[in-house]
Amino acid sequence: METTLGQNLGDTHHDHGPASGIGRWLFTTNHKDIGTLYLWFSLLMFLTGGTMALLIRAELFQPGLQLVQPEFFNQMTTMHGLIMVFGAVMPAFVGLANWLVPMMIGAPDMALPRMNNWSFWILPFAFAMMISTLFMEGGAPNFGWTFYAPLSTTYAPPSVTFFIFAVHMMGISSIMGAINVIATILNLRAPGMTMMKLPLFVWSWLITAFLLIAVMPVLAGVVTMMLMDIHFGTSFFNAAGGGDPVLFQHVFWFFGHPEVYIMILPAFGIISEIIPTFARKRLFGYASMVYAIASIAILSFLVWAHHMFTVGLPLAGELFFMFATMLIAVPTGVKVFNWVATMFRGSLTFETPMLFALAFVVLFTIGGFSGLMLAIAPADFQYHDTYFVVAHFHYVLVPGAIFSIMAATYFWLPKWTGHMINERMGKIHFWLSFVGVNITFFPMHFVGLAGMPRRIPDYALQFADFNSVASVGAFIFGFSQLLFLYNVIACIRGGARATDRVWEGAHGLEWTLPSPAPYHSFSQPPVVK
Amino acid sequence: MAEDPQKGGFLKTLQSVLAAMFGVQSEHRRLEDFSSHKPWRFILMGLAVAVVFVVLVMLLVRWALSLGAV
Amino acid sequence: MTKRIWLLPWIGFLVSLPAAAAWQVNLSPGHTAIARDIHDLHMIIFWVCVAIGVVVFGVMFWSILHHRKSKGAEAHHFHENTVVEILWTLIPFGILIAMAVPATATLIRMYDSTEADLDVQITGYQWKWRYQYLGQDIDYFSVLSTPREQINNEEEKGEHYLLEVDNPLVLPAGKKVRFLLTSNDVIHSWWVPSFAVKKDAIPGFVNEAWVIPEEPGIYRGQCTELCGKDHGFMPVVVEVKPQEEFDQWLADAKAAAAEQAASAEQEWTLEQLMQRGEQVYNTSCAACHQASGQGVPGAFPALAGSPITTGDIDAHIDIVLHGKAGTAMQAFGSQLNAVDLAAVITFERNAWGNDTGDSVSPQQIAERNQ
Ligand code: HEC
Ligand SMILES: [Cu+2]
Repeated sequence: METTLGQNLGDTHHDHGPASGIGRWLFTTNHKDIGTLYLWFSLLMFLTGGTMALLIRAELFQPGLQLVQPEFFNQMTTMHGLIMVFGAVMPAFVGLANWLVPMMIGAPDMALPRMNNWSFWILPFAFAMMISTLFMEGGAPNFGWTFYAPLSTTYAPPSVTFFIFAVHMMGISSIMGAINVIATILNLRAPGMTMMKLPLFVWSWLITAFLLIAVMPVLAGVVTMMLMDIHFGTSFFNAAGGGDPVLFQHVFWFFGHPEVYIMILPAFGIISEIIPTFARKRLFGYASMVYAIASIAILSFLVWAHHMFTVGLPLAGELFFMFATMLIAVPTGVKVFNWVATMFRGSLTFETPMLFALAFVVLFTIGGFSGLMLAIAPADFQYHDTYFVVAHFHYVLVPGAIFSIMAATYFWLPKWTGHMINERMGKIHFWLSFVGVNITFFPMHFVGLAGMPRRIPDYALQFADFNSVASVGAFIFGFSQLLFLYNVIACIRGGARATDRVWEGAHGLEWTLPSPAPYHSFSQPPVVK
Repeated sequence: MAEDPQKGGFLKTLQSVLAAMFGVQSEHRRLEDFSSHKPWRFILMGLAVAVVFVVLVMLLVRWALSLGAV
Repeated sequence: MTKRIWLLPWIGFLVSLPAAAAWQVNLSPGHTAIARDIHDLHMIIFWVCVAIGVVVFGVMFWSILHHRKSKGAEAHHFHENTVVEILWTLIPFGILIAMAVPATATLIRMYDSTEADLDVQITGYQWKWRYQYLGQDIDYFSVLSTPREQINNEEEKGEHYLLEVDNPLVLPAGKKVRFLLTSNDVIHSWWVPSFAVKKDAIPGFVNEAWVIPEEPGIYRGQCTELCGKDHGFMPVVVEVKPQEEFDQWLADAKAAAAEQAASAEQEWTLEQLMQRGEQVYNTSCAACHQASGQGVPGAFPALAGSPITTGDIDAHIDIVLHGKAGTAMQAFGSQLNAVDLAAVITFERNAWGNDTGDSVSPQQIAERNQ
């Protein structure tokens, strides 16, 4: 696998910069431009999905229906989930991969630049179509981001067909993105950049890409079955026609559980780059980390039904998925210890990216703990579909995945723009986010345990107090993200000049490039010792 | 290790895969594994071990049920 | 009832809250043996997490405090220790295996629904529960009874806001009751936290669950699977009575059912039907077609001025009796008695300016409902 990069690739490209005007962005095949597009798109979706979350939290601020009706509330929860998962988190990671993978492995660009352009430009159309359903008669999809049949088939609003088509487009985009990442990592590594020297971010993305290729077709399959049920008279999920609504959940979670890893593995990679940098020490147990991540690619397919403990699986099935989940949780869970061991006896400094990484470690671990609790099948009968679950997955996704994306942005932004970020503003953004996130999501554990189901627009009075606390937190968290927007724009427009290395403890090929990184990363392959 | 890394016996592959599933591996063994040019060895072994894992958990379930029924 | 609470002083503004039993932070221990077992499992795993958290975060904060560059800390370059890694993987493994034992035992008991004293079939409908006591000829619906005005903030909210129904499920204390759960439309989930019973009600499937309620009392829960518009408004209320009171209730319920049947024979005037029809409409139909008869565009058709409610009577009766397959419109022929059906159809044909003057009799309904 010792491929070096194609000679002519470097020759034909290395002397021209970006085209000008809108054409640059529409027709670009440059990995940095496309990465930038992905990241801005993701930020836009994050703010859109976030606005929906704020509407949800505003309605839930007090008992009673104040702002929206239940129909619309269900559309908001559904769209919020879909937009955050498929529009914010996943494209952000693809954007980071676009920017960083070629620079980290010493390549001039991604391996398949035209496909790269296409895989991005599908996305705005997919989401435009999905969001447009809000304005259709019958409203947008209202069956939750897990879209269980038959609520999403027989009983769905007409807009479900647009939703299905949009999911297909997102799937195509993700698969193309994944193929591109794999082709780049396997073929374009600089001489001497052997697989065993790959930075962890690259490793984690390689595994993520394989997972994406494995599960996106499953998602496409399940929505196609829905389409057939809705329009072509089949009865995959329609009990009246001899179909099986539980089959839907099996297929969905066979996609859904690996999807959870798709949203967290790149975060593991990012944190494993940032913590060593600011601890001025190599990552503790790099080998273990690589091996554990690789085995996840296989093991994550064996635990899907732990999302389905209350559907009435046979006892043997419940036990199987409980045992498998518990066994698999440990090797991934303990990777947190590696980060802690990396910090131990290091020489720590606390710049903004490090703060986000530290918050990630603590809060993601809290999400991991509640995950451990949810794996205990009998206890899950009390937790399932309550706010306890909402608290759990928001802890792994918001201060987990999203904090890692913010950490990555602050970490590599100086390399991208050539300017240092304003540390003061970065820290203010961090602390507001950190406080906001905990005020929002911690009380959700409490109301969940006290018995509040998820996805309800109104609730009994005993849940009122913590709900209003959570709503206040949500507004703090939500509005502090405007600071993030400000910080990014400010850093693009100016700031102290960044050195090439940027951070004192930084290691890796990307830091050997000038800041800002040139339009074509490595026109001459670097030599890696 | 004196052994030719290109070859890497069945047992060594198995050891590496088991280490991956357990989530701990030494740097030394990693260097050895990655000097192999046959990733398929590891992938196939990984799939096989996953099947064995499933069978083992199923046996565990059976055993638990047989205890519970008494 | 409404207390003013100074909340969130750190933000410095006043929030007024109608507060009942506030600030519950944990699972309640429940009122059955299984619920207590689950509560124990929950507490054990919780403390395990706390213990691991204290150690991990302890080391982390130790490093953050003491190993900072600003304090002159130098990085020690170790980056591997396989033994330590194996140890910290094995320890959680051991803990989890220890957890799996009681969890498995509890799960096995939860699945043992044999030797029940009473069988109740629970069917989920959009958005109500139907309780059928098998072999007892008792069959009724349980619908949210919180007034619309409370939900719309036009009236003060009651103590059991959103957790109250017209007809609760009634169970005898100390007896093993088996639930057979299914659904008529989408997936619902029947949950009573005090019993630790949560099972999905799925169309085409019959799931089993059971409970031995220990103490008489009223237990409240909710539907926990998103089931459409009024998912948040289909509570579960169970009233547990001592055996004698339960027997009495059973006898009364049977007598009431017989009386109902007899009333189908008598003559009903248009006025009587309209009055009764409005009630039936509000409990059974208004959730979708709206009290105004205007429906919800794109989801539920308007009945005011619709060709069916103002056209052929038989077509109107048919859609109410048999519903429409593949839509949310249910077959009410098996849900409501002949009088209620006659009343609600009569009401629909004369309300909201439909003014057809038609009156449908229970006998007419019985005939078409063959
Ligand atoms: C769960 C929601 C729901 C409830 C409750 C409901 N309906 Fe419907 N109803 C519908 C839907 C959806 C349709 C449209 C079916 C179709 O696509 O033709 C409908 C259609 C109708 C129609 C035909 C209207 C037309 O113009 O086509 C009548 C009459 C009707 N319902 C009466 C009733 C009555 C009487 C009740 C109460 C006993 C009731 N419905 C309760 C959802 C509901
Ligand atoms: Cu329901």
